[in-house]
Amino acid sequence: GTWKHVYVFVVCYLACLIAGFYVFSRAFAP
Amino acid sequence: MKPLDWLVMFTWLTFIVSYGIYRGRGSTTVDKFMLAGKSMPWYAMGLSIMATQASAITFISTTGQAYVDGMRFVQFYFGLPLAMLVLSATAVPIFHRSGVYTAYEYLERRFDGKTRALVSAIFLLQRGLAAGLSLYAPAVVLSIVLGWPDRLTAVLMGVLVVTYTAYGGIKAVTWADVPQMALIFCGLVIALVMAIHRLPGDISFRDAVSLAGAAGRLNAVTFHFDWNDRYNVWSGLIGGMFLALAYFGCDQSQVQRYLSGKSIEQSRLSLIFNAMAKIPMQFFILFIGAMVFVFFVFVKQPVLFQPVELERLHGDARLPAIEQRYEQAFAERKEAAQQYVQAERAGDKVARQANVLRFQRAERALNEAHAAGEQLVGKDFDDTNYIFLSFVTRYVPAGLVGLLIAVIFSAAMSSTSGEINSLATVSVIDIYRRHINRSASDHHYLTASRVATVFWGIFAVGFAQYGRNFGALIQAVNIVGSLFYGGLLGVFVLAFFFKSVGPNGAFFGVIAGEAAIFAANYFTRVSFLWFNVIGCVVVVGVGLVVSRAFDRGYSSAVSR
Repeated sequence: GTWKHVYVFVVCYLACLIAGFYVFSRAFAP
Repeated sequence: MKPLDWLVMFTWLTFIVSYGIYRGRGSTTVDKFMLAGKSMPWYAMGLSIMATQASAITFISTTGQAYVDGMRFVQFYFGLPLAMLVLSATAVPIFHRSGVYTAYEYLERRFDGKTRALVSAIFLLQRGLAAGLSLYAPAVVLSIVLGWPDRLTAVLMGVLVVTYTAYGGIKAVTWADVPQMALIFCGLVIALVMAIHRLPGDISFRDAVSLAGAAGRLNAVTFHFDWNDRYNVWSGLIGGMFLALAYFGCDQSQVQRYLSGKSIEQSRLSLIFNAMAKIPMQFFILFIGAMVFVFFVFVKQPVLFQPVELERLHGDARLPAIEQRYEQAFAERKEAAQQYVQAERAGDKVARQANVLRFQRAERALNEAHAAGEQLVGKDFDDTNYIFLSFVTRYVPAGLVGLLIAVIFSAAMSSTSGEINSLATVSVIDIYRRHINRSASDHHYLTASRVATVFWGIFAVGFAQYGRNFGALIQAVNIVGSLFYGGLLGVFVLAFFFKSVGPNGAFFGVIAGEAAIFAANYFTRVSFLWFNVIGCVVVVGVGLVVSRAFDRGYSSAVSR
């Protein structure tokens, strides 16, 4: 719909990536 | 390299040059040569933006970094999507509406000629050296691993790039980047599949990931803040965002990609594409490095990955003792890894933890032996950049080796072509047409652009020819970006967001910002990712103060 919605979507996507990487790191931590 | 590998590699290189020339036809005006007549779709610009940023060293060095240090480096890119959003909302519409060829042309409209000249000169110095390094670094690594003459490799890459870039301008560069990025993606998948496929038969993918985690190679995220720690979430989000803002918003090699868009919407989409794709791509490259690490836990490699230096050391009486320590540590680490995998499968937590500690002890001993081998070569010697190519050339089947070497060539050529294309544009628009010959015909400036492209191509190849004589300069080029980007970013922030700031504020702001960055570099231990933040803040602060004193009543020729 609007560029503002696109920007919010990208920020949410980034937050999900960081959260996913964090869970990944913790799951395989020594 | 087998005959099949040579065939694959040269077929690919011939295709890229032919395709670039084919897509670059019709670049008969300055507007078409430099901005493709504003005709580019978002996906071509998006892939070209990624290809320009990803040089050969990105692949060679990033995989090696994951092998040595794990996946922490991925945090470096966390600020990039945020920067893409800021630029999409600000720089894209501002540059497009002002109808400029270069970002620095906009600065003259907003401030004055001396600010434009200063910033253009900084760009030419920084990007000119970086273009040389884009050819030099992969040429040296390929020459050592494959035994090719490094000068010939650099000349070959340079000639191929200049051929299609000088003929077709940005259209040739951008469209040639599309299949090159596609090959790079395919090459990454093949490299990962090969790293997993070549593991011993009794080690599954799940075992390999578990072992990489136990060895500390999957530590992708840390929230612990430390000014001196290069990679954590906060340095990535804040420092990485400022670095990406400077690189994608102020560096003509990137600005020119999205200035060629057929509309503001298409240019914005190209940046959004980069925001979405960049972090997963870097994560994937680092994960390949982690899997190569697991492979080398089970398959013994020599003390050094750099074959030429290792060969030279064979006459050194100190080497056998180091090799013996190394082999003992390797055997101990391999046994600990095998027992760790068995304990993990059996769900025996006590044995699992005991073998993790045993693995870590053996790895410390192995790293000490490896470091002792590096010390025999020289105090600053580091063979991280040779790890991935050692794996490719020794353990990947014929045909695929040629394909993966073609990936390295493509990465080097796609970044170099974007760099020399933008260097030629700034040389003609901001220097030649602005200060030397202001009223020639469009055809004259088109010819000048082609000559400038050839000049910068020769400069890059020349740098690569004599690069090995500039040891310290190579290191300087690596940090020169972080030394200058803060000042560049600051002046564009002033231009976009502070209407009251005039030419004196901008000019002296840049000088003060650069002074602050050099002081931070030489007198503090602050990580380079923070230099851009420091520089930008100082430029804005000094710019505002100086403008209040010396730019009273200033009215810009452009506004947002």
